[in-house]
Amino acid sequence: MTNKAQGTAYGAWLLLAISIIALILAAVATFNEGNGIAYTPGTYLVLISTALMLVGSLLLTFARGMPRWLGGLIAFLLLLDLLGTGLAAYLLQAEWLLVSIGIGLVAWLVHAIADPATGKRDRTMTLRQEAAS
Amino acid sequence: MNRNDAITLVVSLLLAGSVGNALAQEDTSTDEEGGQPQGISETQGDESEQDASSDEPQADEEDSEASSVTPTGPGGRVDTGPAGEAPSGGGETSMPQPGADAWMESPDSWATFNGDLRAQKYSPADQITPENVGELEQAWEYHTGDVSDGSDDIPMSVWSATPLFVNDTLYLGTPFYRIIALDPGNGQEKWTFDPDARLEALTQPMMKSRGVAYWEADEPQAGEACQKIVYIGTMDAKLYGVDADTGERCAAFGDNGMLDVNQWNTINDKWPLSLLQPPTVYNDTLFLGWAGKDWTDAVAPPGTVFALDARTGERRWTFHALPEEVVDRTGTANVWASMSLDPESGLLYIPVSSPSPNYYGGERTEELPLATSVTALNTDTGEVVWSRQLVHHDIWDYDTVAPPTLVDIQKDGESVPALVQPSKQGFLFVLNRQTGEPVYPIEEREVPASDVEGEEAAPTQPFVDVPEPVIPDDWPGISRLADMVGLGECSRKAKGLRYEGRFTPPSLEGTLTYPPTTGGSQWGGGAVDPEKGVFVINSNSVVQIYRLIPRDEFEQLGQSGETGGYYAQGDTAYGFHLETFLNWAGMPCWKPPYGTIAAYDLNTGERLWNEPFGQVQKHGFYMPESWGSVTIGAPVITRSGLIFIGASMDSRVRALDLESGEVLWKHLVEAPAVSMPAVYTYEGRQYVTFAVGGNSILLPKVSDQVVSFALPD
Repeated sequence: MTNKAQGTAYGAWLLLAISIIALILAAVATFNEGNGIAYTPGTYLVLISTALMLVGSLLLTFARGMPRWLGGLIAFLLLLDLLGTGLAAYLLQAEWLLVSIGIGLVAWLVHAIADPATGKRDRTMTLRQEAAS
Repeated sequence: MNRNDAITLVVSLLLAGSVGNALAQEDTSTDEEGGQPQGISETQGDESEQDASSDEPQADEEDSEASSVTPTGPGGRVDTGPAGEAPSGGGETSMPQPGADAWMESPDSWATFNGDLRAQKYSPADQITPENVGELEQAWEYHTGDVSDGSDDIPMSVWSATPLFVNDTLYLGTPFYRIIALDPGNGQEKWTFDPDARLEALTQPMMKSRGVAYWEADEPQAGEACQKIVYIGTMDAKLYGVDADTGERCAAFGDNGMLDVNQWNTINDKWPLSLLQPPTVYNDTLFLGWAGKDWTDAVAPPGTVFALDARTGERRWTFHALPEEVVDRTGTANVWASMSLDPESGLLYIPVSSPSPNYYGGERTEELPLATSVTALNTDTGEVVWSRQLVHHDIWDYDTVAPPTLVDIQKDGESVPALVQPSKQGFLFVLNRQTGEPVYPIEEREVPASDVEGEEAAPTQPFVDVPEPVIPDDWPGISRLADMVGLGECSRKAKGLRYEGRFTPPSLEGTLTYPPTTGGSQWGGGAVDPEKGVFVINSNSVVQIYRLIPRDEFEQLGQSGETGGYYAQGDTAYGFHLETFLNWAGMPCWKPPYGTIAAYDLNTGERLWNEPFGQVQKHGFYMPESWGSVTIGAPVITRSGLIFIGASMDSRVRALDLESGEVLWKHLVEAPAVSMPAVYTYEGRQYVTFAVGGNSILLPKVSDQVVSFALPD
């Protein structure tokens, strides 16, 4: 990930927006009777996974001071969440949810490539790296 | 590994058990059997029958009617009485006349369970075409209110009714045995009839109904009630007849509109003769079979078909499918599916089910030629005109399960009056319907012997190569995916099972059975375009394990859903265990597809196309389309070259191109539409109407939805 200490985390913000939309779409899929999938374990699964996605993207967006390794871990878990939710949406034939997850993956890439790095670097590691260089 | 495989792998790991559990339940508890003695009909004088109003089965009472018993055909009997005599109090003469009833032959109507008496499931309507079917939209929707998910006192509902459109009205029978009359153009309710039927699982484990039948006098008298009657049967063997215009009971029918059919349940009356399939109506006569309770008893009511006066319910004759001398050891061989009828010749074609006990025949080793047969009866007398046994000494529960479809085909430059008889075995028997002789060859081939003490499996069975069977000759083989997930469980299990091809007998170690009692084809049967000679049928590809258990080791353990578990088979030498071949995770151990739909050119016997149909759905997830779906229900064909069908697990109804099998339109409904649709034209507009009931064999999802589709105004 690029280390940019300053600037707006556009990717994280986009991911947050997508997470909110995905959670709403998952809720609609879960509770909207007559869609063929309502109240099934599959929709409960995406409801939980999109809720977790929202939590993760909130952390990425607002908890900028967290340790960098934690930011990386959350980003990694978010990627898994996006991929899993996307697969579930595909198998549930929940097209709009699938589209939102697709955009979420783009947002994740933007975050990974362009967003300023989160929080503090590990001081010891930084010194070692500097010494090595 | 292609895209589908990759998805399959991931999903299967995620959803361990999903498909399998569904298929585990997918066996034929649709086997609505029950049963009497073979190939016999009786004709009756029936004054006594109209006061059969008691709710209690009159099981062991002597049949007091004046009747004579006449052997007929290969082992059958007919009880005969004053058949053809004018019914008392009916007003009009009801002598059978050749030719179809005019009201039934209207090209706009859908007047019978199968669309017409010939079970063609064909509509000449051509407003909806392959070109415009994509514009099809919901015209109206209605909810009957008669639905149960089994969570309260009423057992789960299974609704497979075909809506009838006739008399400018759409008639429905519900799984709670109410009749509902709707406006066919907007679904508005006209009237309802509630018999206050017992909602108990007396024979079948679920509340089941396949709807209503309709009759109309040749010349209805204006202002006189019950010139048109709608009938519905109940699980406790009551047949109700109500005025088709008002829903009021017809006083002349039975006892004030109710006929207790169980009054004729006089032999081995272990359960009532459940009337789940509406009667076949022809020339003022109702032809009525019944359903029973499978696999529990060895000795059971022996199979009968009743011919009743449409106005009064008087019994004209009774056909018995089993010889009198065996009924103390067996039973059933009844007719629980729908029948077909050639209105020109007056021949009634009945699909006769297997005798009891279903999986061990050591105590019924004599030939029972009418069991598991297609049999043609004279509608006037009930006598057997011809019969063809499709399974000898049936020990697989291969009931003849669907009505034969009657169609004239062109072969070798000649028009042949034919019928197509689908089967659970997967064969399509094409016969001359006047003689029962094969149009395409039927070959008796040697089949494996039984290794179970006491059993005498038949040395040969009938095989058909043309048309190609609806499922492969050999079982599909181990699914690598299921085997991998099961850490080799599927392979290990298969090695311990007996399998020597079709008709491998049930065994003590367990027999891998393909197809099992689920079929192959099921009760819906197929549809035909009589102009093109193209026959279409949906089918299932399922593997089950049949295991006999010596009586002293048998324990009555649990049963899974309708169609798996332990079954006593009375007090015969062996109990029975039925199991769908799954791994620990509930995944099917055999390769997909699990369900297909195919089209055949009957003039050549060639299969035109064969495609996976529907999608398995479990936990909300849809499996790949290439897997297909187990189906319950049947297709209909329109002149414009469309196939309409629900039937699949994924709660969708579809329109397919008859030429290619391509899905041209699909629409989500509330549950699997385990019925066949009605296609009719009302006030110049073509409608396709589905009863959406669901069936726990496919999915634990039920509904009471009636939904009608049409092109935009």
